[in-house]
Amino acid sequence: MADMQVASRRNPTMTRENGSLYAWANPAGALVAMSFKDAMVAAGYGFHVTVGALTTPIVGGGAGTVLVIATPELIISVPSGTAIMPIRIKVDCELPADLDNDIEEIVIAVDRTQALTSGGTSTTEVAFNMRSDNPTTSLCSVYSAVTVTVAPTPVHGIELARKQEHTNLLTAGITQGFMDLLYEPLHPPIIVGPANVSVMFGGVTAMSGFINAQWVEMPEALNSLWGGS
Amino acid sequence: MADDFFVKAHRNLSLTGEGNIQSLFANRAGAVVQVNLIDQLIAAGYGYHVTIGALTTPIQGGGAGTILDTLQPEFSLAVPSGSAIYLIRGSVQAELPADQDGDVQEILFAADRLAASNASSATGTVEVAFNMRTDNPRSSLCTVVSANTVNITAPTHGLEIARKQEVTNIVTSGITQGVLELLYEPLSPLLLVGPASFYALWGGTQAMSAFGQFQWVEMPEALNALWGGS
Repeated sequence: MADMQVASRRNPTMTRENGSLYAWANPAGALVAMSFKDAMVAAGYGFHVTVGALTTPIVGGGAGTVLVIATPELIISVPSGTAIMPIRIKVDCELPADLDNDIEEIVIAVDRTQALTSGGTSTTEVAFNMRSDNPTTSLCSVYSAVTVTVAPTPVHGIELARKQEHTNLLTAGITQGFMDLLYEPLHPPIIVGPANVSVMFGGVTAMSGFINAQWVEMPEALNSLWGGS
Repeated sequence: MADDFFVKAHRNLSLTGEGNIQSLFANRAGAVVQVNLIDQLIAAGYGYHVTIGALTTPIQGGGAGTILDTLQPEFSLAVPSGSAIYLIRGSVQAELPADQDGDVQEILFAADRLAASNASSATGTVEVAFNMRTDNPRSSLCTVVSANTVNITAPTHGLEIARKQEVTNIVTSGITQGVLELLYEPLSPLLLVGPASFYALWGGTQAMSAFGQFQWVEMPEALNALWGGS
């Protein structure tokens, strides 16, 4: 019977790319591990997009008063040959609801079968690499504040996450609160292109908001991680 | 006698063919890169997602939304004999109606360990479970039904898994505001072996409708060795 021997170190010791070395353990022999998603980010496959900036939120279609599938506040189009795992999406709205029966909503949804051919009238967003020096760029197209319809109109087979708020009051104008949604799944889905991910917010009273979205992207070269049956 | 545990250190990914032997992946400090079994099962096409309610239209189950009716659940997931599931994420968002003193509103997730629900299109709305690896053709063996308004066979809730409870205390009626939601995303999920069922119920003193999103990893008979036997 054989023990598995590791190198016990409190401090990390580096080797070259593709070098062979002892697995790292702490001085008690506990294996030091990292998640595969974190390794993907370190390899330059993580991306981040910011919608709204500093103190200026955005509004998408429907003037912020309704959720309009074809004019979302954010849409990430995943091309054929690429797959993404959404790892964190945070939406922060400026809650306007101050009338009885106001309903305000935030929804994150997925179209499983279509990439966009047009971003409509919108703001084209830049997806920054989560390893901030890495030159790898995203193959996804990202649009925010869509006010004229994207094409094709998304079909939301999957709603990933949602926030819902309902106001009950007698005197208008006296509410105050947060309206935000954090989607940071332990086990994210793998959204295989052609596909898209939408973030929408709005409600009875027009609502604007900010979005931070992050995903790990697997281009064609990494197809064996997710492709095939 | 001891075996040295060497790993291949690299920052960039190095892929090989299906079934090939290769060195363990570590970063350049020797920290082993690991993938969670549930994440790998999702990549292999064993993860499923179902959405209850859509866009701006929530649903109500039995009891007109005013009580938790175990015979008419808002959501039922029947696991057939021969299959097992890890429920990895369940989330419900209600449109909170409570605005009277003493109103109690509730969301409950529960499981029947012994019986697969007989909920069907005769009792509610049959839902489509989409694969969490969106291109994968594998389909779920579970039966998913929402908004049951006709009685199903009485389940036995041996396990109550998660709950949200809200009591309204006010002097003047009609002035509440808030969020009533439940997110169950366990670090160590329950292993529910068929025949068995998972249920979500919501309601309260004031009729309440809601949306839900549920995800599970499903292990059919072919993966029995992962969970079967004693």
